[in-house]
Amino acid sequence: MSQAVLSIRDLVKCYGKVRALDGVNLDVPAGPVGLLGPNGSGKTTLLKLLLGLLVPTDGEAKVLGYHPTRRSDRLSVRTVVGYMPEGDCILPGMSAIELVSTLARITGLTAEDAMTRAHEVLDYVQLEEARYRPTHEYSTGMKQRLKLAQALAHDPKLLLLDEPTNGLDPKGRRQMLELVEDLGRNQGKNILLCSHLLQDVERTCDHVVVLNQGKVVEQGSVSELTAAKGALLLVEFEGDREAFLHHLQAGGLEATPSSENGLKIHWPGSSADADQVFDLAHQAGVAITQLSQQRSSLEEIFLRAVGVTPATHQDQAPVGETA
Amino acid sequence: MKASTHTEIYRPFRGSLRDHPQRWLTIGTSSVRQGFKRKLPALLLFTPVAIGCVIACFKVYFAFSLLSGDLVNNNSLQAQGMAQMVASVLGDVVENIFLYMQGMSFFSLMIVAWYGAGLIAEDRRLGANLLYFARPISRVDYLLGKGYGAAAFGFLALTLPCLMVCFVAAFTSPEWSFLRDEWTTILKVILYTGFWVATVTMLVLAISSLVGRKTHALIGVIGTIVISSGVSEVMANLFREDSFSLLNLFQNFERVGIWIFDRRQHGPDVSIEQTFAALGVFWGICLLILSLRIRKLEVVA
Amino acid sequence: MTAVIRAKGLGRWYGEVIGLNDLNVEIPAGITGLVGPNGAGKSTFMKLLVGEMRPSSGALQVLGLEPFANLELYRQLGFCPQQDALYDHMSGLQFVTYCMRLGGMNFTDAKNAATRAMQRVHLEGAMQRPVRGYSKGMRQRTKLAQAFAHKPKLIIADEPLTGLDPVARHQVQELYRELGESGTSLLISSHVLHEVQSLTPRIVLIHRGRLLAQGPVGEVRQLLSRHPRKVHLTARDPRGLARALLELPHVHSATLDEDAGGLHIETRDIQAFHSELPALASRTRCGIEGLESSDANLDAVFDYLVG
Repeated sequence: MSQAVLSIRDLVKCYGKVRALDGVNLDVPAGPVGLLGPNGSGKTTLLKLLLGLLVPTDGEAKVLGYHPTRRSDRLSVRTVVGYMPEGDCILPGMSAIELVSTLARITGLTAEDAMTRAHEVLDYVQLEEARYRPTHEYSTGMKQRLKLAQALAHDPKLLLLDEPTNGLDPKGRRQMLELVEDLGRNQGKNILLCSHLLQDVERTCDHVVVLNQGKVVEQGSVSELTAAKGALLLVEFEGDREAFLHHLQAGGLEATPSSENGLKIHWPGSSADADQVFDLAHQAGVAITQLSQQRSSLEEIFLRAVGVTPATHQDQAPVGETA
Repeated sequence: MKASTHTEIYRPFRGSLRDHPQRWLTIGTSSVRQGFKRKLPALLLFTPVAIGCVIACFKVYFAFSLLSGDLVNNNSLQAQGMAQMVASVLGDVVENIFLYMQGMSFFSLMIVAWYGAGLIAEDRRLGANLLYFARPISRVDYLLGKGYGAAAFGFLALTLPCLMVCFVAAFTSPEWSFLRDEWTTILKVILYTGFWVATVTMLVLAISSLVGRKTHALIGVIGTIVISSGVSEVMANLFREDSFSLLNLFQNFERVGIWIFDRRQHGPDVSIEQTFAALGVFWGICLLILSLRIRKLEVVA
Repeated sequence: MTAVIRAKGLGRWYGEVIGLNDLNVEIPAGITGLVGPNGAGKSTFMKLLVGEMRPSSGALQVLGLEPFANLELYRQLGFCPQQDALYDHMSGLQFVTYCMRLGGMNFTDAKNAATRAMQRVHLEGAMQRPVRGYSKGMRQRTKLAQAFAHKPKLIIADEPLTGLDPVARHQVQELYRELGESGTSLLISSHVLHEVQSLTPRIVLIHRGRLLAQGPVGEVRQLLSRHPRKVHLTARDPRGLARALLELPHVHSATLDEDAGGLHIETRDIQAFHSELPALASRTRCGIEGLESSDANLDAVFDYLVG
């Protein structure tokens, strides 16, 4: 519990009859954490509560020693938390360097510190000469990087990133994810990453939390949740399918076709031994192009957690929009 | 000497935060700086103010010079008579200052409206509130900051030129008579213009917080003034009731000015207490609007 | 093979700014992904395809017809644009019905088609409510509904998954698969490359207004002979495996992973590598647990070509 960067107990937030958060209990560990959930699951409400922008109906939250749910800490929690909002946001008429330094001064840095720091974070996000130009001329990639820079200006211990790759082209996405990965894994920042792109989360986060309808429906470390369950190998190959199947059967292994060039090989024991498969492939004269233990993807974990059966669209629980 | 490299690009911040940063001051100063970035509007808006100020200064200068006889170096009765006549036409210095303030109201309103209209509206449109309120800034800080920004322009438009005229008066008056006898005028100028600027700032910011863009806010401010004065005129004539004049913001300002400067009252028969009550209601409405709208800005963040 | 889209020497510029520059491409039936960096000309290409603009030069045929102001083509075409411009006062159902009626359907048919489409995008609960109250994801799904409600032969979709949460993304991708299987052709433009790849192997890559590559990703990768193929292996004994692999003549580099659980190798001849690996594995018994071509995916191909 003392290791948790973020602790939430029985957090409830009601808007009239709508319970946006319905008793959230959560301990978020240090490091990069993904916050996932369908639209209307309460993610945005949770972020606003953590920033002290909303008063909860009930419950408590503790962020790095501050209690944003209490009046006394409502504002001061923002000195240790940095927020990268989802939509477009700039301060009118300013250049990037003015924007970051002004915001840093508002947080409480001295004028000199703010200017130095602004240049440092803009260096980090690789906004070079463009920092002296007015922000309304920026491309989407530059705007996203600027938003990240302003969130880092006061060197917060916890970063709340809301859809950081929104609208970015593949190169921009890669750059942004590299920055997020660097911050989370190398620079030791605690990150709460909200994203609908589960592969981004799988790549950059060590831990995930899944919200649905105001409650936590799944949480755990990414590697544990997606770990290979049981002995099942997925194999792609080139060559004579019949011969391969024949040899596999002779070797005592059960195989079912999974795609045009693929097979699922079931193992009798608890751990798979691919060496045997290679032996059999060599004997059958086929070439193996891909081999992996079947793991769940984060997408499958997510869909199952919110009650949607993957690969079909039959909803077990209503997945409507509450907006 | 121990070798070391510093290739890490992300440097942690090793400084500390100030205990009592004046956040409203940062917001206000940045608003003023942004406002003056574009030179053309500043030129267009401040030129009439500058011209008016220069004319008023010269009037004051001439008035004092004629009175003291400096200009007319002729001791003949005729010359003196002429001087007296011209002096009386130019009028009493304090009256001049008072009329100058009234005359410049329109231009000062334009300046505060132009620079102040976008202060909250543009923040909403561009999402600046998302960035501001992620910082440890309260709604009051935000409002004070924006208010300081708008009021700064009002100060430059109205208070500063008036003080310049007083300054000229003080220097050109014989033996500093202006300072000795009329020093209260300077305080009254500060009081009246301060009150004027604060009230107009309230109006402009309240409207700015209601709409989505700067142009809408400008139209809103002008529209409000025009409509309120129009309605007050029509109603006053229709019902022959003077108290409708309380709806007209500029007439209220005039009455406050007359009261502060102890001038002869003319125009609708409305007491100063009623005027202050009406202005109090006005302030109340503006503050209510601002508190609701800024709350909404904070929560959307 | 009938091409649903044929472009020959297609060019379009805006004053001095080049949108498309001598584009030659034939897109066959089925699902195709349109990818490229920002400013590459994808939106220009789509606008030309749906007949919003005329080409400045060259020829363009969609389903055998010239697109500009071609009403007959519009009936067979569905377009889901990137911009979010719906009539806020209408309900979702009314909006899609209206779009159908603009395409020439009578009222009853339009309403039925719209209703079915809204059901397919899982908006039947909300379709009677005004669009003004919809979330971003719901607006996106409404746009999609009007793109396929009239059962067009070709659907062109520009970033169709923006704003959708993972559940909706999954559902819409399923929908596209179904549409593709039922014979509708789809041209989908997206920046999220792994999603494009999960829908279709066939891509068209545009950069600076020109065609950079087209075809199935794996085959495009083969053509990029300048870059040796990268393969990632996980094994119980990565060092032993590395030693053995380096003996193969076509393998010219082996890099161990930081966590010492696997290695990356680069090979000039991927076919040979695949066929020689089983023999090598059974000989050396290093406990290979995983094998994957780390750069035969769209991300890597994009990276190599666009940089």
